[in-house]
Amino acid sequence: MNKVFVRIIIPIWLLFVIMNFAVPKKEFSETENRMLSKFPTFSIGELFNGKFMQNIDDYINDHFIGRDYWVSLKSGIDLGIGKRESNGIYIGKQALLENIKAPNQVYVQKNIDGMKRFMKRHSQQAYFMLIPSASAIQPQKLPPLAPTWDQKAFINQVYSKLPSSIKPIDAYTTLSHHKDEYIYYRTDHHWTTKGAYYSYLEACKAMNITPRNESEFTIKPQTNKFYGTLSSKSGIQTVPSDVIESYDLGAKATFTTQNGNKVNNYDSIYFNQYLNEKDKYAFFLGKNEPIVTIKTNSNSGKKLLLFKDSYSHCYSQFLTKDYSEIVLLDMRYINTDIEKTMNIADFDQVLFLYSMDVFTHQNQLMKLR
Amino acid sequence: MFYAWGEIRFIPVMLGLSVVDYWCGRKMDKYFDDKKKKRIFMLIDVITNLSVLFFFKYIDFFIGNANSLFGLSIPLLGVILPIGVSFNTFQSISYTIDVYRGTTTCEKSYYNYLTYTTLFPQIIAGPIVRYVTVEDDLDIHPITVDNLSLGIRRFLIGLGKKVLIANNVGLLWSQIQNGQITELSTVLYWVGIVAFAFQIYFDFSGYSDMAIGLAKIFGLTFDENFNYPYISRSITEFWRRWHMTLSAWFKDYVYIPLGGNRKGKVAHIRNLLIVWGLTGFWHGASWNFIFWGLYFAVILIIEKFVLFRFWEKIPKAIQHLYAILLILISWVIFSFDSVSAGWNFIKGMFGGNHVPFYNEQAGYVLITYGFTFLLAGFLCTPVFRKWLFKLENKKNKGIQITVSLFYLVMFLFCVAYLVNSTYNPFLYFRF
Repeated sequence: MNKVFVRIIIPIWLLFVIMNFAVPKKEFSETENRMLSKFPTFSIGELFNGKFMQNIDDYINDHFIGRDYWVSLKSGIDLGIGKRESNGIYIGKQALLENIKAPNQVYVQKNIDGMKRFMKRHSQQAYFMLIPSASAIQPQKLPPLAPTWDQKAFINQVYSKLPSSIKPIDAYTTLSHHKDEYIYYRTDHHWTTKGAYYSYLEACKAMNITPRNESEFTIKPQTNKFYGTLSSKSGIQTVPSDVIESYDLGAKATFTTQNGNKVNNYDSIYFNQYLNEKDKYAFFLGKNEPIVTIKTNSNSGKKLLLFKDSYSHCYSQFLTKDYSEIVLLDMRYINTDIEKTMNIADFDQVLFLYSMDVFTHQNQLMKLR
Repeated sequence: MFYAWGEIRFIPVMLGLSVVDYWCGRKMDKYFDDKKKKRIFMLIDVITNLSVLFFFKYIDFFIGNANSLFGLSIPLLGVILPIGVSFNTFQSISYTIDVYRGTTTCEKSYYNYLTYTTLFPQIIAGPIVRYVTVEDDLDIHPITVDNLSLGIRRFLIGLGKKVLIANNVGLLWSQIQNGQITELSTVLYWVGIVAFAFQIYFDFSGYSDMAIGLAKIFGLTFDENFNYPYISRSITEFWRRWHMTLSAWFKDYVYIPLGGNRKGKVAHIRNLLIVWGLTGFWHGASWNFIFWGLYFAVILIIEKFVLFRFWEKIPKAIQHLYAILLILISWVIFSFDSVSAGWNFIKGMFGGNHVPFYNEQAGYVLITYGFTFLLAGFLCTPVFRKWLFKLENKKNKGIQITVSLFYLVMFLFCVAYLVNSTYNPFLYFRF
């Protein structure tokens, strides 16, 4: 036994070690959509506080040979032994759903206070849409008995704290009515364009816009090979890929991103090049940028200020004929006083459009003066 | 080298200690017949080791208690506990006392002594290896095919226990303990503490297996540290099977010197209380560990003086149930630093805290962890190990290859979990 065992295990182990050294290193993981750690630079200080060794551990972990296969092997074992959750992602029936943690009440309060403070100093009418997650709207997709918390009650509770200057938009009810439709991606945490569209109809009522009928849009599937963040995070690859649809109004729109002093101009709000990359959702408005300006050829003359997370990226296309200018602010990436560079009084309306996870676990709106 | 990976800052401390140990050992050897001088050197070494342990592990505990007791506000030092300081100092003390008693001869080579104190396999989490057990092997480290094979297999068993079972159930326990699972029910309290019982056993015995395996590779044979503790039928038996090297240490260097059970009932009870109070305290600088030790002392005393008189008449199943129940309760005390949080948890287990008996959350947890629990429960008994041993000793090549492949698959599974590790806690780091 001893000889047999050693003859089997030692060569395999050696192979592992050699391959790990020999195979070229990647800098970026497409599947996980993040930069992999770099080989740490040596410093005496880090050696002594243990950070150096920790970094080497991380490096080995990130660059382990065939990392993606190991990740799916682990997910496979987990599934096999009955686990229906991986890295905070529920593995449901043909769908992955984010298990949104219970709200951080302190952050929630800070966000509400930030919005209130801001709207006290400005006279426009503001609107707030808090977007529930798939796990709340489509419980039928969850694994059996999977625990969730009551997002409906939470949304009502948040809305009840808003002053009259901020009008709530009830996306929950609308989305629930359509819960059997394809309104959330199977492999990504975002809503689909269709889900965004139903919420848009609801928002139109509150914001005095005549809603555009689906027939006015050119609805076109852009890709059917989208594997989103949930599949990378969970390592589950057995869920079928998603379809990304664009709802094009045919309005001419230019698109400007602004990150500090760096300004980039584009002639469309659609980014075809991202359809060939891993993060295909970036087809809408590209990657996250702090300040984004969409100028359209609409003659309405109306301007909208939109505080947003990435859920708004596929939402903006609906608005291109009703606003001449839409400015999207992602407070996660803005740390300076926005009012120094833009005049808030220029805008006709203000919309806060936030997804449940971002609103309840990040307190970026407290940065508002 | 291995130690440097985690704790390079404390290498000077370790070297210093080993020099003191070595020097005192030599001196005691020199003055072997001069009892007074011998005793002085023994005391120097024991006190040095205890002081180091006290400084790194307990000083903040005492400052904190003095502060709250006398209303002082001495700032805490925030000393970081070096990995394995508890194991290291206890090993040194065992060496010194053994030399003092003459049960072993002193190590003549400083290099060998240093090898002994810095033996890397057990440095983090035991077992506590006494000098006598490895003394003869220190000079030569033969790496043979047999040792290599046995050692690697033992190591893999330990790795599997830790990575595949302990980390898994540990995740569940941390969710329940930290209140990430908000809707508790009586069932969940029990599921939680059973998860912890599995976690601590598979984590700790897994580390012991890995240490024993690594040592084996280098030709050293360590004492066993666990012997299927959860199949015990009394607490007395449990402590003969759980962390055996630690209980042996306390027995030989504290309990027996205090007089053990030879000096009458009162002294016997006193000795048990002292030993178990210290055993608890060794596990961590916090009151709950002391209560945990004393809890066992009380049960051991009751077993010794009352229960064991009619123990044979009680059905075995009830004995098992009795032991498991008391062990689970002990883990509650053990795992909550705050005594009131622990008490709250115990109330929850017995229907308190106004929670339902069962809820959906409990059902979800039972579905998702059911298999792991069954597997872990099965592996707490010696059945699988015995069966595996039998197969390993078969002459048949086919069986040998199959068994090797079993180990290989387990290894690959572990790699998959390690590569993907977002959760890899180390339970025994504060000891």
